[in-house]
Amino acid sequence: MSQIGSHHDEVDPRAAFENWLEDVPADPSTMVCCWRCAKTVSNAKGICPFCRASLSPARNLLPDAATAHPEATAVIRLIGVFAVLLLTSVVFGLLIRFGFSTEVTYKQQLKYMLGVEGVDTVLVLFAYFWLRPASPVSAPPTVRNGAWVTAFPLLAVLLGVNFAFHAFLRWFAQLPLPPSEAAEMSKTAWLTLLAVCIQPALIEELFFRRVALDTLHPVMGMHAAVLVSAVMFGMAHIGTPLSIPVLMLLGVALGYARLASNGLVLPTLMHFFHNLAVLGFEFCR
Amino acid sequence: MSSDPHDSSGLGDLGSKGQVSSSLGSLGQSARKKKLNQTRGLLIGVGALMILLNVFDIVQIPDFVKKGMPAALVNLVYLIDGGFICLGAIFIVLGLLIHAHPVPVTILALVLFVGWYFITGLLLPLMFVQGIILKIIVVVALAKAIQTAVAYQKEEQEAARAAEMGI
Repeated sequence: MSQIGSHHDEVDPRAAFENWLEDVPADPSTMVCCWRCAKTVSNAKGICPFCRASLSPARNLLPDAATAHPEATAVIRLIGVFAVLLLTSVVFGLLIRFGFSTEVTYKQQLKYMLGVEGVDTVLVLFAYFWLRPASPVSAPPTVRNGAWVTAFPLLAVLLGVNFAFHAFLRWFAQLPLPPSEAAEMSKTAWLTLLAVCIQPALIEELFFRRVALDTLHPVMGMHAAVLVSAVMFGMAHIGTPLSIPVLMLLGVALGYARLASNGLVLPTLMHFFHNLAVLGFEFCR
Repeated sequence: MSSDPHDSSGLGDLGSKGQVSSSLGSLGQSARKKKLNQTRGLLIGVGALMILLNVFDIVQIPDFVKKGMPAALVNLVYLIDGGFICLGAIFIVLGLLIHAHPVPVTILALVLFVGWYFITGLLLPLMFVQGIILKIIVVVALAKAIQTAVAYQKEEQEAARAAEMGI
């Protein structure tokens, strides 16, 4: 008769474990990947035989770990940087609206704009070195040459669409044209050029057509990447929300210009001349 | 390990790694599909809510006019509310397209949602904090959906490649 508590009756835990493991029929349909120890185990008993984690249906997923899909992590980081860029614009906008007891002069607005653009420049450069986007897609020479030939006529059409769209908005919403600031612009010509034309062309193209496009391209097709980067570009102009649709259209054109020309020079020039034309219109009216 | 088909312990099945991995693969894919279905519901819900709230806003405009809202603002409010109604419709369309193009849809949805959050915050600063918990939940859910969508797409592509090679 065995005695309760006798060491002869002690069951070797390891042996019991192995017996329990052998007991389980390893039916492939019950095999799962343990969410804790990542070993392939049978879910027949509902518990991982190695780490004793519960293998409930909710846990019964193959881990889509960040290490398995670094492209997904890169996309989420890209959207995180994009959110921070939007936040700086919002902070600037709210400061302009609520931060001054008197009406803000053009020069003050320009200074704040340059400050925000300085922050944006740092963020974009950080994003470029942090995300280290994949090598750019290479277009054949015929496409590259064609891109340079068609880019500027296309830009003229887009400018026409831009002006027509804003004219329609002003008519529909009965918005008066804001007072002309040509005199102030003349006094601060170089700063205005830097803030409105040069910095946006360089930094926005670096972010949306290099960092964003090349981060998105590995996970989706070329056209989808251009569309998503164009939506991001439009949304980034948060200070003028009514202009977002036409800016998305411009973003699509700049995205294709980037891919077709196999570089950033063409979209940067297009962006520069687009902003210069808009500045010229503001100056001359 | 035994590869005897009559092995009652079934341990021999563990030797055919292709069988196990393809079962694991299909199990993982069905879990990812379920996650994408949840994301579809989320996008349709967000879109419907956006449309309802802005339609309600538009319906109330005549009352605001009676209370003295400047006429110049009325059309502007119509424009902005109309824009958000279109955005709501876009979310619903994205939800319906999620299985066809999981990766672009989830990424675009997150970008649009983040953009919408900041635009409404700029127009009405109180909107930054109104419903913040729900907004954070939506953002986190969409971020996780992006990972799921990328994994799902990769598995589909590998399965298609394997089918082409006759594996």
